[in-house]
Amino acid sequence: MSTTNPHEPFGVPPEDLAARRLRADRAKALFGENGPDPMKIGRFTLTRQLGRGGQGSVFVAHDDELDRSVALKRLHSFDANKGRDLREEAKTLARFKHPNVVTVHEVGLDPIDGPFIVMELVEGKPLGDWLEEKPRHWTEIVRVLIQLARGLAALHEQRVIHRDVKPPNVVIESTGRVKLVDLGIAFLAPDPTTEVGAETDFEARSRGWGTTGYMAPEQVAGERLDPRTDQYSFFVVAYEALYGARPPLAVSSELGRQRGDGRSNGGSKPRTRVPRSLRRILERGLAKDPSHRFEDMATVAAQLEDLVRRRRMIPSAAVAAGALLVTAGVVATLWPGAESACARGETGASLWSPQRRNEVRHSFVATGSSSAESTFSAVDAVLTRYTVELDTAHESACTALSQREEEPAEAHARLACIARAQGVVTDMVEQLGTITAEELPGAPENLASLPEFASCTRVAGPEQTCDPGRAVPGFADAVRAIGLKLQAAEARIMLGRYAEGMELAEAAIALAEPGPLTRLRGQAWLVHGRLAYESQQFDIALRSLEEASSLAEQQACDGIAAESLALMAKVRALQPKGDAEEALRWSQQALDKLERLGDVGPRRADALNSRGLVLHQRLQRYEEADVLYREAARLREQFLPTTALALSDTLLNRGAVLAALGDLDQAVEVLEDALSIREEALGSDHPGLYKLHLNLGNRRLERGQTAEAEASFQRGLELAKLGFGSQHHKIAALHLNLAAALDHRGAFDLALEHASEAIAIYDDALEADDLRRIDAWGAMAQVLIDASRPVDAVPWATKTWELVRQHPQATAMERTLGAYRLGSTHRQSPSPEAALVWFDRALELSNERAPEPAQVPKQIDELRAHVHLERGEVLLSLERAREAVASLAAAERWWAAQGSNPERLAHARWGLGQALVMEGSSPTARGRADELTRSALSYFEKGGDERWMLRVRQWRTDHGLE
Amino acid sequence: MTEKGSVHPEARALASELYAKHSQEILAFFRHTRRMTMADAGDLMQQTFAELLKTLRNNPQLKVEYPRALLFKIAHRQFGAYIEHKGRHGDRMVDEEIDEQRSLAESDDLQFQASLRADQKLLLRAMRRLTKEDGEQADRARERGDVTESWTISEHQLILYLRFWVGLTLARVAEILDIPPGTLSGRQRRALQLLRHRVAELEAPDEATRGTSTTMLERWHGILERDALEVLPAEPKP
Repeated sequence: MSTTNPHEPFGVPPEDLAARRLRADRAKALFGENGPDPMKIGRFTLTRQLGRGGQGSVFVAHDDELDRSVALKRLHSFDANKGRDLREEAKTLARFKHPNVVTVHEVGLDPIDGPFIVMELVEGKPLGDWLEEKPRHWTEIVRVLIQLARGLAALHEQRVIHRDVKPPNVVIESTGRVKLVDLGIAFLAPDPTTEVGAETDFEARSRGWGTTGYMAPEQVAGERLDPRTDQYSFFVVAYEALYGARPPLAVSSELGRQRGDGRSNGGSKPRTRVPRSLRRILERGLAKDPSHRFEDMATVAAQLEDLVRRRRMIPSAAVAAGALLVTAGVVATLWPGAESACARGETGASLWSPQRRNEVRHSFVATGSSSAESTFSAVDAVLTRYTVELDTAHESACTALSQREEEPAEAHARLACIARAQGVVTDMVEQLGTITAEELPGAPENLASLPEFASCTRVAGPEQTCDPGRAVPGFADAVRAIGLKLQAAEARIMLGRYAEGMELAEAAIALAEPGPLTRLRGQAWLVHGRLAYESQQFDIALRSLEEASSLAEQQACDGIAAESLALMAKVRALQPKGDAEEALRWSQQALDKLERLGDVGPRRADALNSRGLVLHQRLQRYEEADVLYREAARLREQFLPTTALALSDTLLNRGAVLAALGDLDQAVEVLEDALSIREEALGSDHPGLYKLHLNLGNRRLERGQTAEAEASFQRGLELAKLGFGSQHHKIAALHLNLAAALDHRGAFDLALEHASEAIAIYDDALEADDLRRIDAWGAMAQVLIDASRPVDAVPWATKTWELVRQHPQATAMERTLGAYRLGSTHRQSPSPEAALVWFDRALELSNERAPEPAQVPKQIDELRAHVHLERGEVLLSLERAREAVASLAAAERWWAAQGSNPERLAHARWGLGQALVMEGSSPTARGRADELTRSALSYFEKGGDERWMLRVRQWRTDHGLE
Repeated sequence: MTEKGSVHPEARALASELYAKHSQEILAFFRHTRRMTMADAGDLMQQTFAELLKTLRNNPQLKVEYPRALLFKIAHRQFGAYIEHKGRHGDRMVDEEIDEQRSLAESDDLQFQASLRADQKLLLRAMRRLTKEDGEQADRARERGDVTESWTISEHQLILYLRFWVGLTLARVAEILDIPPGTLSGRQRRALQLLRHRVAELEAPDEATRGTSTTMLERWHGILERDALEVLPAEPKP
């Protein structure tokens, strides 16, 4: 609906052509041929009505003078006498020509009908119809948007603001050319260089015009407009084209959370996948404040062009192949007839044809699993998108070849690289046809192993691929056989059939024994190592990868060597043992080699991510890890969607690092990103998402967002149940997290239920001495303590202690925790003396760190702070002030330094303040006590915690501090 | 009824000019006042201008100071004749109006209404309910569920249409209706009051349009208040 001017009488409603025709007929009857002719406006004879908008009706008209059809737009609610300045404005429009903007032929002023604009008649489909016609890939949509952006940029250059950019005004001609039509309410922006912002009459009167839903906030508010107003409308159109619904109102803040799932649009699904980089662009263009938008439409056009180009190929210097592109060289040999592949029109869509899809679906259903359908949907969604992308890549490679856009050798290499991806996918789809119930839950996650082809640009030299070269006389069959074996091996990852895959790789290694084929052996070992890594056989993986890297080194093929080294570093990072410094060197070598190759594609992202993992997991050098993860994520983002799962993993890592650095806000944000990317790739009901919900829940809990944390855990629990059934031990872990969240907000009964559930699952699923059981018992004890039922907690705490005390695998952390819990229960029961014994024991145990650098020094330090705090409080209650001061000061120091738990800090300060006064010491100590208790009080006041507030105030009054 | 080859070229030129300028709103006026076929509205519009031509021819000295008022005055008369004709043929005609004609009127009317905004549409329907008998008696009839859109047009409806829809001044409308402006002032107040009831009736089942139409009514009341301040002396005599 359009806006109306509320200050005018209703007047005559816009007239349709039928009424006009009637008036014309009656005029003839009254006045004869020379009478008034309502079918004419100026010299134009109206023939057909095109549409009617708030600002005027649009007709097809015939220009009797020039004998051509035109579009004529009559402007309603115009006082004919005031139409003059519009004509001035329109002169500029009439001089303006651009392929993506409708041409304005002239502007007229009819004494009866008022001002009208005569425009080129554009025949084509309005954007809305074009979108409805068939599903459009995001790149198709972006290509339309680019043309539109160019048109707007050109208009803006002439200082013309369109003011009514909306889907019906974007027409796609049959040639594919996009035209912005309807310049009916466009007007000239004041020239900032010559005018002092004088407002034209037209501008003043037509403020607030435009189409609701597409207008920028400043336009709605009737403020002065500039080209960024059009930019906003442009992005509303873009958003709607991509998502099928207009953006929610508070877009700039919302979009970040939406991440393309369209949920905040009343549940509408995006029409197409929307890559993150594109979402970022949308977000900026839709900023409420014009100054936060893009500088101009030319910049927008450039950014969108960049996006499409980047997607099609990475820069030529960056010759890259993903982790799975190792065999590209082989494939170049296997599929020499690239042109014939183009001629045959082989496409990704045929790999995932309706028939194939149906067969696979049947085999999913045949597993009898209750989640067969949902798992299939997830797989289907990924494969459908993937094959569409693959088609686009294939098509563009074929075009490049036929139009000689690039060197034939390069085009061939690119096609070969794509053909190889097609080969692996064919094998993978075949694997899916024999899926078993056990393999079902893992399938969507394993889609991450779909070969990456976004970087199939050019495969430059042998140092990248270890290509044996085409001419290996007498070995053509062997080369082909090796290629097929490796392809089949990789395809086994899809369903986690690692042993089979490794056998196939070993067969390939054996085949590659003869001298001229040595180059292929490196690749075969890499595939082998990768399969071993996927199956978590880290020792085997390391050996295979070392073999691969040393062979590659001998043959001077840096590509394979770099991939192997990066994966070696990753394996080492994920193991608690082995030399971490060595892993750092490996990853550095990998990065150096890639740099020499000019590779800034997914392989570099892998190497960065691996190095980040070593720094993060093994060396706790979080800041450095964060930098690397950030860079890896940035790279992976460019190769979406094929890198979606890898990107999500990197973000997951980054979330952990940020949490370790104490930046919980950022951590939550990054994890939300990771979650939405994975949701986008796998569907939001995929069981594999449970981990992210779990992590997100933990971070939210740490941030004190109990309700949100609870929701995350709850969602994680639902999804995990889908994947593992309700009795799996992983489910128990989620119950425990949920119990913690519930305990945190004082819902003790519910918390106890979940803890009991976890205990029951562990009783069934785990051995009697499995250490994981202490988590459940400990949680039970904790909830009971918090629920003021310390006596009930004692048996659980005792059980915990009994198990960890002697257990050979129990860590210092676990023992400390066991002793601490027991101390807490005794403290509450209440037997403070016994509690002190256990607290001291806990502190003692916490010093018994493992000989290796501890994995979790921070956690254990935090635990010590907890022990110190409670110990101090007990000592205080026993009036052993001096000892209390020592413990409480330790606790206070730690939390003050961390800044991570203001609640504990407040308690530590409150305790320490009391202890200092009790010690009866110097005025300085008294001053310090005053300061400490005041700080605690302000925390309790802020949180509205009345119980503590009153206690602290009373104490301060009693001690003359108020 | 054609005036081809008229011996009064000035009259013809003036009528032609007025036709070009105002035939659209005269046509809309007929279509607005009640449900009728487009052809009927066209006839009435044509007759209005034929009558204008006649008036101009018969009074060569006539200075048309307010052409719209003159046109609406004639249109009003034409409409009166039309209603009278319908009335004379009485219920018989209404009843025997063949279905085709009725459905044509209905569909033409719907098409006309489709060109209106939601708030305009609601007011149109409410105004058509302002029958001659409007008042307490009619209210009671309505309470009994005895509701029909009137086939006739009430003065209330006319006043509201000319004043607020077309935007004529109080003086011009008084002239068209042949009543003193003071009387008109009171009647339009009453008309608005009644309209408010009718709008409320119509709005009851449709909360969605409430905002717009009520706002529109408020605005009309606003105009009325302003009129009351400036009142009659300010209006130049025709």
